Amino acid sequence: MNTEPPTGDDLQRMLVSMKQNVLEHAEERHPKPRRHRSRIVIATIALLALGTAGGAVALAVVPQVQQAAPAPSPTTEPSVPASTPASAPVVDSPAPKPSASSAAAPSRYPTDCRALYSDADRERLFGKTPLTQSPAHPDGTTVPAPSTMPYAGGTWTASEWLDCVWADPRADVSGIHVTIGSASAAALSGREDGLRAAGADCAPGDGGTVCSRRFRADPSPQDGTETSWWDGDGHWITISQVNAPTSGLLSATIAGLSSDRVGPGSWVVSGAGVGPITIGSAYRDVVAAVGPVVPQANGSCPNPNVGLFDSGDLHLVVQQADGKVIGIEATGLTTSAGMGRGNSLDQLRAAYPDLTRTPGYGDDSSPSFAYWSVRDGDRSVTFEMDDAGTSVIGVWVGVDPRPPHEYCG
Amino acid sequence: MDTETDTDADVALTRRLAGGDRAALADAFDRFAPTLTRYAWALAGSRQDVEELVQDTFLTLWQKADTLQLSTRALLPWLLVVCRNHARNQARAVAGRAADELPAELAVPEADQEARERLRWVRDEIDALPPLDRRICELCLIEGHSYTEAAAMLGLSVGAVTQRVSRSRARLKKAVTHDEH
Repeated sequence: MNTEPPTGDDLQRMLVSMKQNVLEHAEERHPKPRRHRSRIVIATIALLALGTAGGAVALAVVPQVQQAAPAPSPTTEPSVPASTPASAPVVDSPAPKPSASSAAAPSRYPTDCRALYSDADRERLFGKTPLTQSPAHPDGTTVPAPSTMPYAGGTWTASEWLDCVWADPRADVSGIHVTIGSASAAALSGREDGLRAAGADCAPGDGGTVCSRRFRADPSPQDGTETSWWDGDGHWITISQVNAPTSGLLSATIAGLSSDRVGPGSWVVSGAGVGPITIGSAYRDVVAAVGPVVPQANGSCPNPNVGLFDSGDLHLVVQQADGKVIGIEATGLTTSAGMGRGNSLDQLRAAYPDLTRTPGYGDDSSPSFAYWSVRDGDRSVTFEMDDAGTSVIGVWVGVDPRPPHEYCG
Repeated sequence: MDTETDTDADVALTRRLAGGDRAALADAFDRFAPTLTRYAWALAGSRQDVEELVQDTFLTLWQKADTLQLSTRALLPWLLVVCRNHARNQARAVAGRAADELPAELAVPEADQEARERLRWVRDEIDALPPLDRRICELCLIEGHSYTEAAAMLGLSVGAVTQRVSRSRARLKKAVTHDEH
C-alpha cells in the first residue's frame, strides 16, 4: 500500500488481533507422530470340515503397514507463556503381485473379507457358507500392533489385519480360513524356516514365495491344507482349508489386496518412488491419484512446486519441476526392508550393509541430520536422521539423493 | 543490536517451535510480527491482505518448524521470503478472481528498484542482520530468488557455511542438553 504502515496503538491493535488469529489457527497443527514399523503377519488357518475332497487353497499377501506410536517427547527449553491470548497346493493362474510402485492408489487396507473378492469369486468359493470376520469393524487405517502368534513352525510376530473364516457352524472342522497381514523380511524368513521344518514345501510363486503343507485337523480326522504366501514387500496371506475346494482362492485374494482395497499404508519406498508415486510421473496425475486417499494439505506452504499430503498416519512431500515429480519424502512408510521412521542407524546398517553417507547441508563429520543412502535400481533411497543422528525421521527418494534443504521457502 | 545474541535466540526459538511449543510461536510473533507487518504493508493492497500475509507467514512457520532447516542462524530472512511468497500467491489469487489471468505487472519479474522500494519500511531490520543474512535478503527479496536458491548461490548448502549450520545445531543441542541458555 502506498500509505505509511501503522504505528503506535494502531499497530498494537493490529498485532493483537493477528496474534490471536495465529494462535487459534496454530492449534490445527499436529506434531507428526513418530512411527515404528509394524508388520502384518498372517495367522495360520484352521479349517474345518464339511465336505468332500480337499481343494486347492490359495493364499494372498498382505500389505505392510506402519503403525503410529507415541510421538517423542520434544526437547524443550523453559518457555514463556504467550502473552496473548492349504490341502492341495494352490494351483491357479498367477495373480499379479501387488507392487508398491505400480498399484493404483488404494483407499485403505482391507477391512471386509467379502470385499476382497468379486461377487462371482465369492459365490464360487464360499457360496452360502457363513463368514466370521475378525476384527468385525476395523477402521481401515490404523494397523493392529504386531503380536506373537502361533503357526505350524512355532510362533512369530506380525500384525494381523484381517481374519476371515468361512465355516458352517454345524460342521466340525470343515471350512476355509484366510488371514492377511504383513511382517518384516526377517520374520518372514524365520517363518519360512519354521514352515519347512514343519514339513511345508516352499517355492517361488505368485510373485512371492508359496509354502504349502498338509495337516490333520483336530479333533476330526480330516486332512487339511495350509498355504502361506508372502512377497518381498512384507505382505503375506495364509489360507487353510479342510474339505473345502479353494481353487483360485490365493490368486483371487492377491488380486483383492492389490486393488483399491489396499490402503496407502502399504505403500513402499523404493528407488522408483513411493507407492503409486513414481519419479518422473506427471505431478498433476499424482495429485489426482493420491489426493483422494492421502489428502493434500499444503496449508500455508507457499511453494507451488511442492505438494504436501497428510492422512495423519503418513505424511508425503512431493516435489515437482516442470510438471514432473522429481522427489518424494515419506514419513510413516518404509522400504521393502522395513526401514523407515524410528529405525536406528544400526538397524539401517544391518538391513543395508552397503549403506553410504550422502553429503548433507552441515558438517558431514557430524552425525546430526545425516543422510544415509542405499542404491535401489537407478536411484538412491535416502534416510534422513534426526538431530542426534541416531534415528530415522523420514525417507527420501528423488533425482537428487540429497533431500531439499527445506520445502516451503 | 547484538546480532550474535539475536541469532542465538533465533536458533533457540526455532528449536522450541520444532518441538511444538506454542509459547514459542507467541514469542516468535512478538519478535517478528512488527517487521513482517511493515514489509507486508508494502506488498499487499489492503489492510486485510496485510493481516492475511502476516498470519499466513506465522502459520507456515508453525506448520513447517519441525522440518525447517535454516541456511543461517537468523530466522528473519526466511520469514520475509515466506511472506513474499504468500504475497505472490495472494496476488495471483486476486488476479485470478479479477480477470482469470495474471495482470501484466505480475507476468514479468518485478524490477529490482521496485523490489527495493517494498523493503523501505524494514530496511533497518535487514541492515541489522549479519552480512550473510543481508545478502540472502537481497538475493531473495530484491533479485527474486527462493530461499533455497539463495543458500546455494552463497555456497551455504555445500561449503563452509553449512558448517555454520552444523555448529549451530551442535551448539543448540549442547545448550538444550546442558541447559546453557
